[in-house]
Amino acid sequence: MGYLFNILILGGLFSILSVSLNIACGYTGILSLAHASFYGVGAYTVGLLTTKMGVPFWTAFLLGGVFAGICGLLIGIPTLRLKGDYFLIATLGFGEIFSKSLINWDTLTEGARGITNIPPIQILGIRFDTDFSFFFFLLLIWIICVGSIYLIEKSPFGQILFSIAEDEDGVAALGRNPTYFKVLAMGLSAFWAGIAGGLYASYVGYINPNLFTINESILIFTMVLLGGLRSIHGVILGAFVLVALPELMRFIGLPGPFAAVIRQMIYGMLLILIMYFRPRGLLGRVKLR
Amino acid sequence: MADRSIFCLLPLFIMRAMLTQIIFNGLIAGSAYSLIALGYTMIYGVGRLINFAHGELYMGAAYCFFLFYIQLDWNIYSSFFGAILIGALLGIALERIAYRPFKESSRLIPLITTIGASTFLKAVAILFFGVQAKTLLKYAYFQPSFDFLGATLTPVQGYTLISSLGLMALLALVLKRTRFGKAIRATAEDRISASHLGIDTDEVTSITFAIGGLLAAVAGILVGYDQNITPTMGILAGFKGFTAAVLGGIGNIPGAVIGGFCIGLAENLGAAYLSSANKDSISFAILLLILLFKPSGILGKK
Repeated sequence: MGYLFNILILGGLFSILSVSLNIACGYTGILSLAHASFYGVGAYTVGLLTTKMGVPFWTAFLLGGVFAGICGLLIGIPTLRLKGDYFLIATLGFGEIFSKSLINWDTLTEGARGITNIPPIQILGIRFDTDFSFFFFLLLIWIICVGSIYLIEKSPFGQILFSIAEDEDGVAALGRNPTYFKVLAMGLSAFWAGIAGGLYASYVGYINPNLFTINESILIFTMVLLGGLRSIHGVILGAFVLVALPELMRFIGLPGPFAAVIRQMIYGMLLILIMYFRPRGLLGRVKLR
Repeated sequence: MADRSIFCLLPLFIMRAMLTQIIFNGLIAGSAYSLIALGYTMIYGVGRLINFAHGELYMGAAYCFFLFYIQLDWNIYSSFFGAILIGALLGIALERIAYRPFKESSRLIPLITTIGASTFLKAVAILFFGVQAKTLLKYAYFQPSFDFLGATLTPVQGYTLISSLGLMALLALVLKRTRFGKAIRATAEDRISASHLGIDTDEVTSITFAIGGLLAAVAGILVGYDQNITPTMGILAGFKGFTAAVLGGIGNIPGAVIGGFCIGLAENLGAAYLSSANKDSISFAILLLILLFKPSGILGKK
């Protein structure tokens, strides 16, 4: 039972990440490989504030989201005027340098050792320290996240994002500034990644720079493309499928480190195969432009 | 007193000697970035694609050299030429698998497939060789070094500088003087018209990928010999090569060379005078600055 909750929790966390990346990739059409960095900003904010400064969970948790959101805005402002492919490689560079900085800046981040003993979630004296109780807390946040993103999809703001993906010049011609909306979408997407990072840090209690590398960004990116751009159901499905995949491999009996490598190979092949056979993803409704 | 004044001057001498050393280090790193940038720029010119897996060609060739030279114990020349041949073949394979089937579709699709190829190749390298850094030196001894214009270089650093300058000259000659070079330039200029004039643009693209792979392979082996090789060495090298290509003006061949040397110098000067821990962030800052203020690069057209 604990095992099942474990998978549900990981799937839940990663579906928050994929649904939020979908705001950038699916709705607005800006492909980003920096999502794991924003996730890392949230995780490190919670990790550092709760262990080193004794900040209560709620404050650290929200600050993690806000900091990640601000990072998204700051990265977005200079880079989002670029064309899609330039933007993608700029985010790749940012992601790689972010994970290197987590290692190099060890006076703040404890370097490669990572941060240990992050306290579990505690609100109003209630501790969410078992898988079971954490699951319900996650479910609450998950509903808020997916619900708010669903509402955004239906809102005029969401419609503007869709039209930017369809025809950026057309949006500009109608008097809206596409860059402004793209930066906002990026900030919002990064905010929810930061929230997921805070949840992860207090769930596992230990974080290190290896969890927030470009490989994780590519994993989240694959979840979105597998599930289908712009489809909330799709990207949630994509997240659960790719979270369950390593568990399936464990059933086959592959040894741990070997399985991790095979998994990366599968993600790489999957990206190519999706583009060959179903560029719109499993449940996606739009084609890549 | 006299002694004191000499000691006061000493730091100045040291600074000057260090500056020459830093500039040479910058040029050596820069020559590798130029080789990578040339591949990016040529592939972008011919196929309008930013090849995300370019850094993996660099890494892959370095590992092939490791396989041939260290594990199979070939001599250094056959290992070197074998590895750059594999670099070129990897380039061709990449074009066949990740670019050609998608050349008619959205520009973003080949980007995603090359991201996939890059992830795959990194995983293959880890699967066969592990994540630990490997050395390409066959015998564990200190490399002899020599003095050149006041800087201390190892032989392989000298070879890096000479061979990359030689390769760049050769490439310029091929592009300017041969029929084939003309075909590449024509395809880069206007793909459709070129194909109407009877140029096999698929063939040209494929060979451009091979040239890009070859140049990246040379850079990967030389840098790998000088430092160490890891499966993730291609990510940052690729990113810096891309930055160099953008700095020089993407699609512009002399620009890629200039951009590469600029990045190498900026990085080493910055590491010496600003902060060595943030050496890698310098290229990212440069990329953001160019893209903000002059997206067409130094030599690029509008």
